[in-house]
Amino acid sequence: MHMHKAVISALASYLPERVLTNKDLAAQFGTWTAEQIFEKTGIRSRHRAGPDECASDLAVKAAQKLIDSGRLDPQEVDYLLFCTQAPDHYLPTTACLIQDRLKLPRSCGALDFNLGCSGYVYGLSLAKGLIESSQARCVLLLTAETYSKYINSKDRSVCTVFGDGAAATVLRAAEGAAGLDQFIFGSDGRGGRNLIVQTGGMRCQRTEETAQESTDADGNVRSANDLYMNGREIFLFAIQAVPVTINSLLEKAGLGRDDIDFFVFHQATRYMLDELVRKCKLPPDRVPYAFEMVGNTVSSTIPLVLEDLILSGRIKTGHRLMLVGFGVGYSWAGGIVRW
Amino acid sequence: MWENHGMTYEELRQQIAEILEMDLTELTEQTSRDSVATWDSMAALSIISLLDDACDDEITSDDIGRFISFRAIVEFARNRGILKG
Repeated sequence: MHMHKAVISALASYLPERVLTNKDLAAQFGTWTAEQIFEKTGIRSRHRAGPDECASDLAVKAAQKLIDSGRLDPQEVDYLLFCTQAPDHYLPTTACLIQDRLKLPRSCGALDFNLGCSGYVYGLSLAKGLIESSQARCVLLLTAETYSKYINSKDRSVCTVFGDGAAATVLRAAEGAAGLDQFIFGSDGRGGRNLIVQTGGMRCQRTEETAQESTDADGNVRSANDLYMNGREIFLFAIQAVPVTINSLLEKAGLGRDDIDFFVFHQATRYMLDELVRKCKLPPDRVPYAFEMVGNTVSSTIPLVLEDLILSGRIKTGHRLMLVGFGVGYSWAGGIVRW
Repeated sequence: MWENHGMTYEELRQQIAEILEMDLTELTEQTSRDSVATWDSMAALSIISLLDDACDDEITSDDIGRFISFRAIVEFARNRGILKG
């Protein structure tokens, strides 16, 4: 049997035009100055989708960049994977609508999957499965999120951290050493309540009562319809799950830390990344950060780092990367990519 | 194992004072989240990290819910074998 590997062959991102700066937040909350917000979060600004701009719109624009620059011929896509937690509708599947908007072939498979910060790594693994089992030759993986639509503007704990954005990644079948190698996964639904939008699904539908706002001990205002994040719990989860994931993945791949040129983590917050670098004793120059001007864009943080590495010329053929996504669910995954 | 991570009462006090950006003389067992403005969400994360480093077994959600005063932190450190001497 002819063996081939799935390789990342093109990548682009799209960030909505509206920008929320620390100055805007400082004026709104009046507790921290713009500089203090930067010192606490490592973020200077984050993008916000417009009122009529959906995650799918951001994803289409990211994909369109690839098409317009000649890096993707829509006709060659035979599978579309769309990762979001903000679909256009309950149904139909947003990926099917995107198939039509991007004029992908009608022979193209298309599905949505609902994951957050781990979504990109899961998407790569699904694409690998499709390509290496010869079910597809070219997979378009779109990640897009608009958490801003779930965020109460009076909730500083999430307002400062999250930004909207999208990324489009093309995976193709190829021969050679480059490509997606080993993956590992993890899930723990006990942590579901710590990063959640309670209402809007079938379990708890929206009512006047669920729209009632309340103020927490830190002065943040939200209702059950808004995004809630327990930062302490999420932090504890990350500092415990990520080091184990790194070690297990290295073991599975038969690699040592020195074999990895870049550890690309989900860009949760600067403090979280600093702590992971310290706890895992990783060389800081091999852990790229890319969130200062975008914040935490959920499933698009990892491709935004990859795009940064590509555009800056830091990443070279033959480099080996470890990607680790972790967060809402709880859900996490790690993968080794040979560039 | 834990001897490598353990610390004395004074070392713990010093580290918590540093996290809370307090003068060491001001930090007592009565110091709590409600009484110190610098005990904010970032300080809470630093405390979790410090104790997670020092503790041999995994700290839990229930544990971190109790880190609301220096007295509670000392009690946790004592019960989990973190405190030396």
